[in-house]
Amino acid sequence: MLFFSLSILATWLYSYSQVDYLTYQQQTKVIRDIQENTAALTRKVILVQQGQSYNYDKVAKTLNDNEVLVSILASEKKNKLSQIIESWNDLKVIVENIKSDHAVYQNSLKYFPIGTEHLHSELSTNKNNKALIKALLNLERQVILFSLGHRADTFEQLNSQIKAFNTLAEKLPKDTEFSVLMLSKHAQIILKKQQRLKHRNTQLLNTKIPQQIQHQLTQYNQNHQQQVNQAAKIRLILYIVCVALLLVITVAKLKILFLNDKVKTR
Amino acid sequence: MKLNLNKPFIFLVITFISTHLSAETLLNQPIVPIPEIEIINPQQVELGQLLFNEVRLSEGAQLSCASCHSMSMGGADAQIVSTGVNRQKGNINSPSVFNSSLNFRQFWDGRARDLMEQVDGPIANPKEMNFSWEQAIAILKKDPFYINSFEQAYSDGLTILNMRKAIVSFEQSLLTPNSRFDRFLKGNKTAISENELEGYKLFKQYGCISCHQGVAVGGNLYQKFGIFGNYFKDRGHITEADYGKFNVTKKEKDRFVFKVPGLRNIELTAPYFHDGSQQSLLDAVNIMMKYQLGRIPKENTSELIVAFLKTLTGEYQGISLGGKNQ
Repeated sequence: MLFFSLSILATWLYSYSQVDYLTYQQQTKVIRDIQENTAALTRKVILVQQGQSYNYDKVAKTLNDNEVLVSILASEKKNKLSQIIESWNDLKVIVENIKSDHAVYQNSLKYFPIGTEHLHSELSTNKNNKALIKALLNLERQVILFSLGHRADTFEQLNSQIKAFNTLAEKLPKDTEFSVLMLSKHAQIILKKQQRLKHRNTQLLNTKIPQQIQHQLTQYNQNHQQQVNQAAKIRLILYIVCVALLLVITVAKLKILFLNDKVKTR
Repeated sequence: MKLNLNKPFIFLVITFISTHLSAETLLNQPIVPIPEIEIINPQQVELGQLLFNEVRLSEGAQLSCASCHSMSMGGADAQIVSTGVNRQKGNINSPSVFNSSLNFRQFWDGRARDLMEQVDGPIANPKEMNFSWEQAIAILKKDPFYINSFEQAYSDGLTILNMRKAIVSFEQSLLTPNSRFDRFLKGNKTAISENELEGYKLFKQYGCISCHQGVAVGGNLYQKFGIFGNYFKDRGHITEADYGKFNVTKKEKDRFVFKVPGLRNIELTAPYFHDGSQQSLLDAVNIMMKYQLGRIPKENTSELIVAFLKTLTGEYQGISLGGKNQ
């Protein structure tokens, strides 16, 4: 009876003495990959904006790769992970917005000096446009200074300058007025998108994902360490049970030998 | 001391410097050539091609994927909107299936993350194929040819997942490399004419490149349609399909936002835009100038840009899709 009880106990202890290394490795790999991809994504988005990368392909690919990894996390359905998933969803929107805004901003930024030059030569044909030309050149200077991040008029001041510029253009022939309005629209886009990009880049760089992942990794490591410690304790008990089992077997064997000897001597 | 440099050596140095410099210039372009196709499992691709052309994947065996994405029509169907089962008209213009694997999202509104997600769309759409994978597999399981083919191509044979995978494998094989512009990017300076090169310069100068860049010449970001003007108000008759990404996210800022389409093989995929409103590429370019770029093109600018766009027509299975000009 004792033998059977110890055997069952040993089997039970053995099953609990195992550490699930594979799950631990899989979980930490996914989360570390997300961490690396998020960092790479941030870097790639900045490289495009700095003109060091010439298209959005790498940004789009890294974003999609991370999306796949996050969907693996999402399948785990743990509360702690939901914070990372939420932050990722926010980051994804930020990146998509940066891509779209940057494309429009770049277009206007490249065109604005060219458009100013065209409009300038168009306005120069009429002597009455002197005030408008002066306003145009001042606007060009202020908008470019603003886009470069140098001290220029504030966003609100520039906006009212654009509106005043548009009012001046109301008396112009239709075609020229259209050119003025179009250029003003470019100027407004430069102002608006520059502000927006600045804000979105700050959001991008301040993403909580790295901290959340670090926290999650610590959690995984602690859980794993607990498992290892628990397994070590169980193994010690298992060792004792096995020794006890051996003793029982030995005692039983000795008893049988003793009984055999007794039978023979009779 | 007099250096003894013989003529062949000088020639080699000059050649090295000139090739190095030209290669560097071309590498720094926002558009990248389409890589050569690498087919890992031809059996799966062939099976996918069969399924792509299989009418039994639709209600009453009326049409197949190829009905709206014909290889002979630039991977689309030359219709404003496609015709689905029971002669129902769709809501939106069929995008080309060529190079679709290069898109960062699928569908005009980007609702599918990848082709595996996309492939479920048309089959279940009541206005398209109005069918289900369960119905389709039940039919194919009666066909010994498909049973054998799937057993050869996949270890677990004919399953819904493998049907989807096979179609995706085929779609992934639909790359169109080696366009004249790609050859130009790879260093063949005579691959495009002076006018076409001028068109490419204008494409960059006029800001088209801001959205249409990368390997697919687009297909890697979202953009609002109507930045410098209200395209939809001017066009009139706004439909739900015009709302674009808004239909997916329900966020107001996503109204009229679409995935920027890739411009590869663009000369073959008229009519243009999600609404199929423009039959000519020139008109489409002019609309982009007005509503997206806020530019008034100078004389011939749009024509030269169109000339450049026509150099983006690639090859499928080693044969040029464009015929003339290639």
